Amino acid sequence: MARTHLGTRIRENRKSKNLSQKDLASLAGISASYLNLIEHNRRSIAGKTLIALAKGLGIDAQTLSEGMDTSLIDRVKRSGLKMRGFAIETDRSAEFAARFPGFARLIARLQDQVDQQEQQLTALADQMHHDPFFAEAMHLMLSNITTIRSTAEILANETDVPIDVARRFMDNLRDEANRLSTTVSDVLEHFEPSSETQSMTQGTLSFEALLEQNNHFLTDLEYKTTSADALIENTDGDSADRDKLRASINSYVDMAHRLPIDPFMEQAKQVGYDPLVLAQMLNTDISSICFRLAHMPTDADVPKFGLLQCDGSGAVLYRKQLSTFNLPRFGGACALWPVYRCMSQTGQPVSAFLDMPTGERFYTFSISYPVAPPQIGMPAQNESIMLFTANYELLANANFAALPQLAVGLQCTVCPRPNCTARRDAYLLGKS
Amino acid sequence: MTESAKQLVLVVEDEPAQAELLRYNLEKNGWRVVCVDSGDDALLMYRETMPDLVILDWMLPHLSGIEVCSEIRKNENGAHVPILMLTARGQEEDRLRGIDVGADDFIVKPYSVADLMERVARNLIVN
Repeated sequence: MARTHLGTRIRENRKSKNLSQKDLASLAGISASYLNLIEHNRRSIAGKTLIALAKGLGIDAQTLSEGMDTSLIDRVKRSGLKMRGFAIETDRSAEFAARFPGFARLIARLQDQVDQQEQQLTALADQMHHDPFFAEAMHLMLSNITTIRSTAEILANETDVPIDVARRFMDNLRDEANRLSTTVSDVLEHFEPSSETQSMTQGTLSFEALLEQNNHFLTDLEYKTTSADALIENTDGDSADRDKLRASINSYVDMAHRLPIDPFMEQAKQVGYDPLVLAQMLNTDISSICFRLAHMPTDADVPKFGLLQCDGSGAVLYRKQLSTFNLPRFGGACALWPVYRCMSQTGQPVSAFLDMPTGERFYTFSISYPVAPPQIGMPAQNESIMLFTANYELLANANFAALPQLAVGLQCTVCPRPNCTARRDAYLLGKS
Repeated sequence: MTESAKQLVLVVEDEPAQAELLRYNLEKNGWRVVCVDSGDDALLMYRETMPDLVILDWMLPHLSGIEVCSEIRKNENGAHVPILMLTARGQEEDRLRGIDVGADDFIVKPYSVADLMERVARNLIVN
């Protein structure tokens, strides 16, 4: 269980009792500046000073020394804060947890379950928000409803509609109602979960949810103020899910360790966020650079990168979406994306602009790289990665004008582009 | 008022039933209407007719409403023509994107006909 440093515990206890540093220092017979050093864990204490401080705080010296599981107190406190209208004494959470540890653990456990269910709901809502099929279907349904509503308004309220126009409107009503019911059926079918999908999503969902909750930048891991184990500690799910989550978090920690964010940000800005130059400059592999670029703190001057990593079959290994560039979870994306094309040219980077049917434009950088040493008689094992951003004005690339501009989509079922040679599925929403 | 003196509205909508409804309501309110069902045709028709107002669906096949709006503003002597975008995307970021490329107003589906007509009238008067 997570335990805090003694100085931090003293500070928390002092604050919970609304004592100033000066007050507590005075009660303990030490100077306020010395207490300040203790609270910031810059001086270790024991013996007389510890007893004096514990006395000043009105708690047992041993309890103060050994500490209490602060995560337990926090969870009890959070549970109380969430239950508005009950006048719960949240300022006495530490005291409650100390006096009734069993009840405190029960409350914390229940709170964990509530938190977990909220996270699942958020993840599901997010999944729906980023699902290109669902977004397109919603657009179509709203168009159908608009037509039905407007036509009904005219037929119900206007007495002078010519008979031939009224008949056409009636036909439109019937057609739009039929289309609406078809689209609704498609949506229901789309969300019918297969067992394979469910088992695949659980582990990756929790890491994706964790990243999305933190804007894809895990500050505590970057600056080593927490460990992977501490992050995983409160996660529910079976051991396989937790192992997947642990592996994902460990990869993140490895990236943060090999490419510390502060110097990286400076170097990246200097070279206009060019992955190739950064890889040479930092003497590391290109995929690590791409991952690092996709996980930087959010700032107006920093381009926001999305990322897609695939194996040789095109299966998605990792994805970071942008709000305007949704990525499929299980493959099936537009075959024209350079992340697939570059697989035939291992080690050869490809830069291109992607123009979406919605008008959005993205700069992309893609490259394929080997993931296993070559063996005679065995096929090469490659992965490919695509980094993309809509903030290409922040990048340094003198050859923007020479880059290919590819008219692509997200996936065939939601792409209205006519006469596409790469189309493998029909546009499901009936507009092509 | 003679037919040619009436103000002209260009409707860009790929859903035929929607387009028909818009035409019916606009004409009933005294405006002339031309309808096209794609972004490419919208640009051609714009050049040909120089309408007084454009109603533009956001989601169009091939060339999107955003692209058409941007093109009219930049290249078609359309710096001042009112452009109303029909969209099912009510989110703030979409609205900001539309404003960035020069849309004057947004009508989020499902809208009411009365509201749409009022906004058309208001934008034509302002213009």
